[in-house]
Amino acid sequence: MLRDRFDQLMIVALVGVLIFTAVLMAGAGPREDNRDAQAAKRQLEREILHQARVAYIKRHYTPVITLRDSGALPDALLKLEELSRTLPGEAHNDLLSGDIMLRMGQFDRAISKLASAVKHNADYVDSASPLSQRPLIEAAVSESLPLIRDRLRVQPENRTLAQVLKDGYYLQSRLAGGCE
Amino acid sequence: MSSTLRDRHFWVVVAAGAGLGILGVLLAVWGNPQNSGICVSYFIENSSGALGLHDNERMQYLRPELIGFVLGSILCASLFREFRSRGGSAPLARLVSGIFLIVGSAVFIGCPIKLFLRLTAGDITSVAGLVGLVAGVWIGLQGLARGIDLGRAEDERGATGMLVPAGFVLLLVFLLARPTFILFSDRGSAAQHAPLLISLAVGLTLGALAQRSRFCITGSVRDGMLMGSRSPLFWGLLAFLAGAFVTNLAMGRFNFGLYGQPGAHLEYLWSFLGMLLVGWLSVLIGGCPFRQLIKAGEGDADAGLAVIGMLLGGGLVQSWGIAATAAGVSMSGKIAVLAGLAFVLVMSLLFRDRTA
Repeated sequence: MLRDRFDQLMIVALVGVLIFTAVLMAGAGPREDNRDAQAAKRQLEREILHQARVAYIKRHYTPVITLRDSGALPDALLKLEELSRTLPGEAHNDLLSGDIMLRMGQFDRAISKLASAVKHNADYVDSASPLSQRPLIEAAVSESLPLIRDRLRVQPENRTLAQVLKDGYYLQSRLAGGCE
Repeated sequence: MSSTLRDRHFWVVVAAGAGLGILGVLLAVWGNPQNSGICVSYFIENSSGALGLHDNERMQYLRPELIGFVLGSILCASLFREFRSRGGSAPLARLVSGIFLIVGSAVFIGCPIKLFLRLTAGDITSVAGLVGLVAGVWIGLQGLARGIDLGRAEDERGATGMLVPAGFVLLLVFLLARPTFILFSDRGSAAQHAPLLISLAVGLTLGALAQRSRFCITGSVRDGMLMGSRSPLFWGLLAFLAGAFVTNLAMGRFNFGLYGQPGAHLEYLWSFLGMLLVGWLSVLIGGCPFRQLIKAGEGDADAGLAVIGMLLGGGLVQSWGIAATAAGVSMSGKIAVLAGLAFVLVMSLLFRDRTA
């Protein structure tokens, strides 16, 4: 290396390119193509979208929660059914259905609904999320799973119940953590 | 045996194995997801996400451990004058193999290191993966014995072996400087991580130890099959298992059972096939995902290409829904594993030297 003029030229050019890059980076204000701002905006939009979703859910489901808290559980389920027509596939619908069914003692359906909610939105088992519903899901799993297991022992051919148990194990696994 | 015990290399291997097992559990105690204190495939998926190769908002974080493995390896290799730029052994086949290493791991939910971390935490669903890994290593060995050879790596001019480690230095700069184009999850499992400096220090230490010892999970299984207890790597694996098991017990993280295990599913056939793919490929390309990172740090450009393939694979398994979840394995995941098995079968046919 550095034996002839060509090598020396390459080294000088390399140093020049590095200096030029450093100067460019040091002196850079907002980039011309505005990509930094775009990236920051994307992060912000993601955050806004998330917060908007939380607010949206709260706004739409407040009547259901009010009915649930007042003990009018069948009415709350009817209201949820009504909402599911305007918000099809919304995970929060499944979550609240699961919550209400759990209160009504319908453990099988509660577990299936809660599993469906978590599959669509893992924030429900994420303790850092404002949408976290870990205590509810933990309670559902600890109350329901032993009962479902007992019933399945008596009716081993019951495929629906076997699927509910599978959903229960899914919830248990998600509550345990892991890398999803 | 007594001469083995006097061998310094033997103890380096045992230290590497025990270190990987103990620190693998402790990293989860310090903040990494449960049973994923060290999981190369998961770290790769996180890092791919941070680089914008997929858009799963819950899986984006430049994992410092990954950077530490490569940089620890290059530092150690340089210190002991073992850094050597080499390559040219079926590079594209290794790149694709890197993609399929992550596919197999993502369908099982974990690399071979995590398989044993799960096992030592009492997760017996991982037994299906263990059987698959051992079967894959065995099939790979049968192939090697019958002439499958990707070709010899040659010394390369131009220090090409520096390129992948240099890339990881750049990733370290990104991790510290956090430019806006690098994405970091604020929720989900990627938001769960041990403190940066601890993760980096652990990565550097294990990278250096693994470089000195040549320790790797599939390599240990392979050598265990070939040489039994005469192989130091076999003892390294036992040290790993003992270290991880005792640490899990001590930290109250041992939960024996089949159901409700963190980051696990109940589709045993696909766990088996996913790990079979990983074991088989690892034998053919000379090491599991962890070992590819270490070799890339030693200047092996072929392993570097496998690492690049792994990063691409990390993006693909998330973007295409290949990665399994606790709910099970998706159809695309199943097809991807079968495509991987088809790839390794074709590779076995094309790279076979039939003259011997």
